[in-house]
Amino acid sequence: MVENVISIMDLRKFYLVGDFVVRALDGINLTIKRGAFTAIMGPSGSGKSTLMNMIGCLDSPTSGLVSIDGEVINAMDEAELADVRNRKVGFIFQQFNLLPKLNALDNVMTPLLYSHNGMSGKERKERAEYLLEKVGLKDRMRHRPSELSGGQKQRVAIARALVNNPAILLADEPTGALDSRTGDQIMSLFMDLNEEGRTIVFVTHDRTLGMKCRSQVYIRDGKIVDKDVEREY
Amino acid sequence: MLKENIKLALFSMSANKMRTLLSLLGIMIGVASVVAIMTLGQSATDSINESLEIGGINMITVMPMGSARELQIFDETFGNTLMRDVSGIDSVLPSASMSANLRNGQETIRSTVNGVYSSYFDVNNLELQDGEFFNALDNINRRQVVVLGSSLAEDLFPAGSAVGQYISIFRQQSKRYLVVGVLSERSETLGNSYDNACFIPYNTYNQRLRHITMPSSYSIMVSDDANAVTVADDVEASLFKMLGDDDYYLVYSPATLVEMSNEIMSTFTLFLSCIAGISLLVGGIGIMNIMLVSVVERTREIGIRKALGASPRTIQGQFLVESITITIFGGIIGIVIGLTLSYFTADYAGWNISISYSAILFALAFSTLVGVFFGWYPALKAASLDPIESLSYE
Repeated sequence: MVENVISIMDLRKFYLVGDFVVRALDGINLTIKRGAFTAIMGPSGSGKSTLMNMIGCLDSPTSGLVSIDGEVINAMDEAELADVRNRKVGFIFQQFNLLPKLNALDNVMTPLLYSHNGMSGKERKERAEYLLEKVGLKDRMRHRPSELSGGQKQRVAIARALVNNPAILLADEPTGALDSRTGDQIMSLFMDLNEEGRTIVFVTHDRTLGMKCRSQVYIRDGKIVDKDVEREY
Repeated sequence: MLKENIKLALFSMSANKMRTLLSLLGIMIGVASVVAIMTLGQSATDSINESLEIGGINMITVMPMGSARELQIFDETFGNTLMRDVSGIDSVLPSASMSANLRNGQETIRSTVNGVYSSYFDVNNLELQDGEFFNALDNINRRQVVVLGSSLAEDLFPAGSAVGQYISIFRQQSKRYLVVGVLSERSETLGNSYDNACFIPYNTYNQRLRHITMPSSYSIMVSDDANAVTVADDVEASLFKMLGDDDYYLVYSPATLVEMSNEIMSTFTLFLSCIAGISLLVGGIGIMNIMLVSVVERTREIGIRKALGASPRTIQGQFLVESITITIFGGIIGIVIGLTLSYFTADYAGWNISISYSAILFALAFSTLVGVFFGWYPALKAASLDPIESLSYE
């Protein structure tokens, strides 16, 4: 077991937009320990989305080093990145991003189809059923996303994120599309998951929400401007 | 994974039923026409060949065309000459024919009287419905016996059985002939009707009906181990050598005609299949078009799948399986339509349907190929989409 689930050293990501170089990330150093519940906060355009994409292995850096649960992703090709995403990262999006044609159960099972873990169809189904039950959707397994409420959709997404037992849950404004009451419920589900030992990275621009996490990282103009890690053990 | 991909493909097909159907139309029409053309081509060929082969595929007929004075080679020695010249011949049987009136009681009918050797019946695959053929002894003794064609027997003896009865054959004077057999009905081969003809022994004909200066035709029996087409060609060459002009004889060989009909039909079928193949190609372009639209429409889905850990290859596989599923589906519908079409057409034309399994196999293989070929590029496009951009695609 690696103590630091995420290690980022001097990470830079530059884009060329026309003749201008956009420094989306400009020298980020960050480590996140196993079991942490860290908010990444910053205004839009601050670079927090780019950082999230790096942690989620959706993007590769211009320079610097990114290591996810002991695997350095810098030199990986697309297929290898896909494999790391599949095994190490569970995504939870603001817009849920469920597959609309599949029912809740099939949605949760989808990541298992992409992992080469030799699970049988029956095992995959049992695993997905267990997780849907865990997020309180035992009686909604056969429903399609269009037949579910926003909160239920996000629960399906959380079950899907957990299905491969990833090193990190990576949540991007997960309550952003929900009303405040439902948002609170989802937030407390995250807290419960963290209590169980899940490492959670919570990306948000909402200060109040970010403060509910156990540690905070503030980003502005591609740089970390402040860290509050006091409340981390 | 394959199972899930096929399931997904069926999902997206059923989600856009009308669109799927329209894009499948090209493949369906293409496959249906290829199957129908090949099946009907096969059926027509078989049916033509069947009617050609009815007189015996190993039989060649030679007809002298001209007067006996011009064509002196067609005398008693012709058979031996030909057999010496051309190998692969079992026997050469001359026969003669003329028109004459036949009478039984009040019934008088004009018919063709043939003077033939007794093995003529065997050589020409003729069968009896009643009585028996005359034999070699009848010929040697120049007996006045006759075998009637089926309709002729019916016309002369409307009341009942002809065998054992007598008829009269007129030529200057009337002579009585004993009916010994009646032929079974036989469908007509190239104007050669047996049903309205009658047959008497060759020598009887020569002696009692008309002196044969030159036979009207020869039936050549090809040996079992020889190729009838080759023998027919050799016979023609030999006749040309003897006569120096191909206006003086006619060689009729069912085997040669069968070969010709096979060649013509297969060329024709190939030609039509090529045209139908073009519609398969056009259908393939339709599939590519719809797959490209589908990739764009499902950009977000692709992004989600990539975020969940689908590699580019996996995505490519998904879309490839989808286009193959669509084309195979279209292929199967096309085969059903093609076979139904052939069935009714063959029924209408009176052919026995010969289902061309090679056509079905070809159609299935081709539609799979179309799926792979025209699905490849859209699938590659899907696979190479950027996950971050795809995720934010609306």
